Amino acid sequence: MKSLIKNSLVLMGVAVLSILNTQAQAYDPLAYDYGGNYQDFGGYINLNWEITTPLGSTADFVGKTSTRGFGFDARFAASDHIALGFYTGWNYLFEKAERQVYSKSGIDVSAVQSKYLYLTPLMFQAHYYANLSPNIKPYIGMGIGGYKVTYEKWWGTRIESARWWDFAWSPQAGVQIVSSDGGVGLNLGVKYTGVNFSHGDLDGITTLVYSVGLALGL
Amino acid sequence: MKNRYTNFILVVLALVAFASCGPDPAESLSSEESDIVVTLYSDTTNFSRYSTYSIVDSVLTINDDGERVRELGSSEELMISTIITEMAKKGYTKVDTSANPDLFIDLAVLKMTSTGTVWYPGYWGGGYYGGCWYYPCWGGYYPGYGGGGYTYSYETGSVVIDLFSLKGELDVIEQLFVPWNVYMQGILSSNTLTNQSRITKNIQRAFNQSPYLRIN
Repeated sequence: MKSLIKNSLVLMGVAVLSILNTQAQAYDPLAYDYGGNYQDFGGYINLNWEITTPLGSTADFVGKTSTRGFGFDARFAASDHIALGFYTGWNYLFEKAERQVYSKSGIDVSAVQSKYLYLTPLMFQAHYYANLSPNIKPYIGMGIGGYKVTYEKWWGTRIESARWWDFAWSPQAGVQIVSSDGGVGLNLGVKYTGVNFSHGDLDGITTLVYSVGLALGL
Repeated sequence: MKNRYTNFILVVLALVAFASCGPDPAESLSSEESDIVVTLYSDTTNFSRYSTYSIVDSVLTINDDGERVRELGSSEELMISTIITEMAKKGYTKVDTSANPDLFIDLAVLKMTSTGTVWYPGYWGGGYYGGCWYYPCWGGYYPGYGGGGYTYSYETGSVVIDLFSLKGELDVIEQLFVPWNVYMQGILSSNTLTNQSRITKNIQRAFNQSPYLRIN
């Protein structure tokens, strides 16, 4: 867990440093074949495979990192360095515990617990791009919006569940590595997500989501 | 340019919509994994104040239509004998009903498949409470009925064990006091081969997770 957080911080740090570095340079669109900036393309659609690591009380509820996730992420150029858009998709966290006895005053329950979180974001996002080269585009950004959360705690085959939308925020960073014509590429990203969802064993949901995906120029 | 990926993206999104479903524990758990054993107890009761008990010689079966019959097949015999074995491990002495026991144990198999209200006065006409199985009230430790019935949502084949106090204690609605109650979900299935081991294992679980239930 610590190494994942550390790696994420390093990645975010690299992105921030990259942007600072770019800002220190005079920007010359003619230096690149196609300008090397966003407005030449109009934006990107990212289709991401997402790996979700639960943090905090979320990790107490479902501790396992999940490789089951998908992100659809649309970013439209608003200026040379700014892209606005939205993203959706789903992330699925699951953990089955060995049989054990759960106790509180006056009651003991022996059961196999299966715990699930289905997360469906619908987030607006803004990104700042540093156009280091025509091919390498580090970015930082922020997502604000809602998450539909489905919480399920099964006691054997008895379900205790809740489902609703809640406010979420998501600082993020990453890099797009695109082809020479900018039309297609690779998206690598990491985002911290906080969802204001409290129910049962959860007091807020926090996750770190790693994205690997296809970037398609618009 | 903007539309060149449209078909591709739609196909991916359609695939993703199907892929987003997870396994359903109601279908993916083995029968052993799906078993639940709930023990409700009075946390103000000192169980060492009891020493003798008596137990029914047959098991009450409650069907969907509320019909109640007493049965004694091989499963019922196994339930009773397992309870006798476990009670002996806890230090309690089995005596005849006529010998004025401190405790009495009744057993019921719930074969109801739907939710509703049923009147279950118990063997002694005494009180009965079941864990309410609607979230979030399942932790409720209270007489589960009012006006002659209680609301249930049990799975068919579940077994309930009630330990009644016969030492003159009454519960809050002046019924016979039940300091210990067990609910075992679905341990009686149509598979008679697995029933025997599930009965033994789950009754042992009920006693093992109740360390307060002992003479010393």
